[in-house]
Amino acid sequence: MTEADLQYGEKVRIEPGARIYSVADPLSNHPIFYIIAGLIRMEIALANGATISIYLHPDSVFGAVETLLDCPRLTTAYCMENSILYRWDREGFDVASSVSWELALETITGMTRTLRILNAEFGDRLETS
Amino acid sequence: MSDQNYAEIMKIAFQAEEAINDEVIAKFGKKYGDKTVLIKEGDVQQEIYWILSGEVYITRKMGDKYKVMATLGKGELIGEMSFFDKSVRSATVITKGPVEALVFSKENFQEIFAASPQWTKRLLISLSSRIRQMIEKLTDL
Repeated sequence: MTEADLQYGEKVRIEPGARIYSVADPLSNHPIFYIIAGLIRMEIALANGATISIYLHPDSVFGAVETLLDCPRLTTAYCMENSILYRWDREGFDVASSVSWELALETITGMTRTLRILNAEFGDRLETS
Repeated sequence: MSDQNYAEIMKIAFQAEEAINDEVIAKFGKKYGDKTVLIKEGDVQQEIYWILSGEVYITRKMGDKYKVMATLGKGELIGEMSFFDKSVRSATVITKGPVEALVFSKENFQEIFAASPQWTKRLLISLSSRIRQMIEKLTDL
């Protein structure tokens, strides 16, 4: 996937340390992101105060889960390095992922990868909880 | 997420009515003879098989022998865990008699997408639901 495939949204620069969204936040106007360059950390907060971090690299899509399900944020997203992101509103993402099979594939692959990480790390705990 | 849950998601995604038509079958349908190895344990292969007719054995190597773990038939999906993201095959799949299947690979995702864009939408929403469920469970631990 190249930058030429990115359309129907806008490019933004994010400073390191910036919080892009927090858990329980309502969805913003542009809730879905694609990482053109940089590093993003997704943080999941457990009830016991511990946190789980998943690091996202360029070509990753994030923010789509809550948007597609129309629910508040499930995680907190931090920018770890100077990053360039492309962001969409729901309608823009629907159109973009309908015309770009590369974007659809990146989004599905990213979700599959997240599920595999969560399953590999915490599958046993979840099955016994 | 268990393998069973993932299989359910993939079934929902692939079994959208619009995903099966003559055009899709003509493009992705393949026929196999008896005792054909479709998937080999230990390989890295990004193909998913959707059985249209016939049955296959799911086997695992135990010592020098292969043990049949399950027999799957029409409508079943095989290989979904490796389809979108590389992982090592955990079982060997062998045909039990003649089998006809749709064979999708990551390389021809573009064609699958063109044949059935709705399949992608269904899959995205299904995967999102699974991620949400897992995160909600984790945050309750």
